[in-house]
Amino acid sequence: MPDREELLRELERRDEEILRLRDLLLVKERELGQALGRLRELEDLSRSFMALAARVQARVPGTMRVVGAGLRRVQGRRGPDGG
Amino acid sequence: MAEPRFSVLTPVYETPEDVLWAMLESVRTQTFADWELCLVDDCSQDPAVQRMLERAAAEDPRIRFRRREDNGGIVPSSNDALAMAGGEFVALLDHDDELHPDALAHVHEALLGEPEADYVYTDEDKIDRGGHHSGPFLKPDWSPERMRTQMYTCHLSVLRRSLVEEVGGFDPEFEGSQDWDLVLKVTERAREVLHVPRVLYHWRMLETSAAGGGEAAKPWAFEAGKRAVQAHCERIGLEAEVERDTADSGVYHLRPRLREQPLVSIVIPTGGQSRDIRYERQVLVTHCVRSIVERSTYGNYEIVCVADTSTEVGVLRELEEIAGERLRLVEFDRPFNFSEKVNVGAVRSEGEHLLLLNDDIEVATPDWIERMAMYSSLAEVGAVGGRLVLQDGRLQHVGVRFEDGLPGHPYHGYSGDYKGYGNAVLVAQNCLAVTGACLMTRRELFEEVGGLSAGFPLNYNDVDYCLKLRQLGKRSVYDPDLTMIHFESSSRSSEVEKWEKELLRERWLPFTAVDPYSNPYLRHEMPRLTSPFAWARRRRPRLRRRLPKGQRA
Repeated sequence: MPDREELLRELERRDEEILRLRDLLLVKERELGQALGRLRELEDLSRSFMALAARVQARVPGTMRVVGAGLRRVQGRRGPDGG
Repeated sequence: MAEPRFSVLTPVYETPEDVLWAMLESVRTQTFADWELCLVDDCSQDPAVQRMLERAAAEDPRIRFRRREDNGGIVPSSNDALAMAGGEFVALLDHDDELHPDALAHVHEALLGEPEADYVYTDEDKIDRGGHHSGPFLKPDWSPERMRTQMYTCHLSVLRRSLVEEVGGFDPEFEGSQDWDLVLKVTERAREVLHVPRVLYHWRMLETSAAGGGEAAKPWAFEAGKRAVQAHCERIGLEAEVERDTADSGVYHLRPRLREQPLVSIVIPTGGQSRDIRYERQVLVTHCVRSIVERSTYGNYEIVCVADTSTEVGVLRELEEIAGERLRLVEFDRPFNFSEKVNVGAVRSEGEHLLLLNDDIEVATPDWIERMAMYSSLAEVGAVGGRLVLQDGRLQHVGVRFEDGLPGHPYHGYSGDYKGYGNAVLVAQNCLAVTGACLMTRRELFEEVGGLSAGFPLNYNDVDYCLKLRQLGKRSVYDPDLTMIHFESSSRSSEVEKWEKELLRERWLPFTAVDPYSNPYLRHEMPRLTSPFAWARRRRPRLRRRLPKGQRA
């Protein structure tokens, strides 16, 4: 049966570990926040491009098909190695 | 010769031939013809400069040229050009920049619509030696608070000549930022300031210019800018010290230097909810109040907690322990209505300024109250808000922007170091509204507009309040230098109901259909991808009007 002193020491160790893990979580949370923030930026930009593409497509039907075909032709000429 | 509408002032010094010619040509080809160009050569050593200017003056009677006998610098040259001017308005054009062909025409049109305007500014972009355009700066309408932290109006600036002369022209004390100083002085007295939201000025990027070389090109200019803003603050009685941004040379910050500390009542509506804050279960309101008491440097404040009757007694006792005599507890026993809760708190408070604060806020900036009071004390300011971030550091609020009549938080969820378009996140500026999660306002204004509208019990009561202030002619201010951590919508669902949107639109659409602090060519605070096509579009020549059938010959 562990004595009182031992139990108190164990409790202290676990409290310290909790604080250490919490601090680590907070650091990781900040890093994740940075990444999430950058992702949000890129998503908004991509939405703008998609909206523009949709507007172009609405005015000139078939545009995206033509652009896509052109892109595929260029990629085909380049070959699988891009050369 | 009759007085021209515009006098274009251009001090010249050692300008490369090709860009000098481009500048001259951009004025000569203006579609609006009623101008004069006042050129002052500041004793350039390159004979080609004088030759080109003399020839330009010989070929066009609207072009006037004077050569200084000694090299005095840009301020004396600019003042010499001003002395030559006879126009009703002066337009500032640097010797290596270009005007859009319709620049003066658009400015003239704007002035016809608003004859009392004393200052007009336009949007601008950058142009390199090869004539390629980039970096458009699409500006908001007149924002006095932004003008103190960023020379955002910059080019093209057109000022009423009589007012320029009244303030003494260009001041040599602020050489390098003499334009900024002049605009600050003129706008202190201007009856009306107009913004033409079109890119009408092209700022040449050369290594020697601020457009191309930044602070490295003209370091003294940025120090002069600091002094110019400081002098302006002193003139208007704004109790602040101006500081330069450590990273961005064109950005400045105001640090409050209050002579007095009027009583501020911090009103916190609460229901005593808990949530995990930094992975530890906490009662929101006690965490909030503890952060106020432990971190605030302001001495004269009281905390008015408006608590639901369901709030645990233990929470109230803990609040009393934390805040002591600063605390005033008010019981709220009605059905939930955030606006009513705040109004009840305001009635039971005594401060000259009311600071509305959500219970899910943590103070991060020690002089947050001083910063808010600095702006709130200005007669023309109605509401002040700050920069709110989420627990993970991402942006939550940097001022409210309207699109299609509805408010939104630009850059919500972006990383905390995001600067925003045109450094919008870093500079103080005006908005149509700021969030009520952290909002300071003067009690007299709060009472005059009837506090928060109970008709918005949950969402949009803050936006509605700020718009009521705007109706009174009061501005809302976003201060980027006060940061709060917002554990967003921990207490209640943030989903906005359809009826709330409809009510807001119904009440305020004439004010919010077009957000003056955004720009017609911005969408979600980024330039629309199609905007270059709009900027490149020239004015169509006036078509012959076709008479109605009965009047035709």
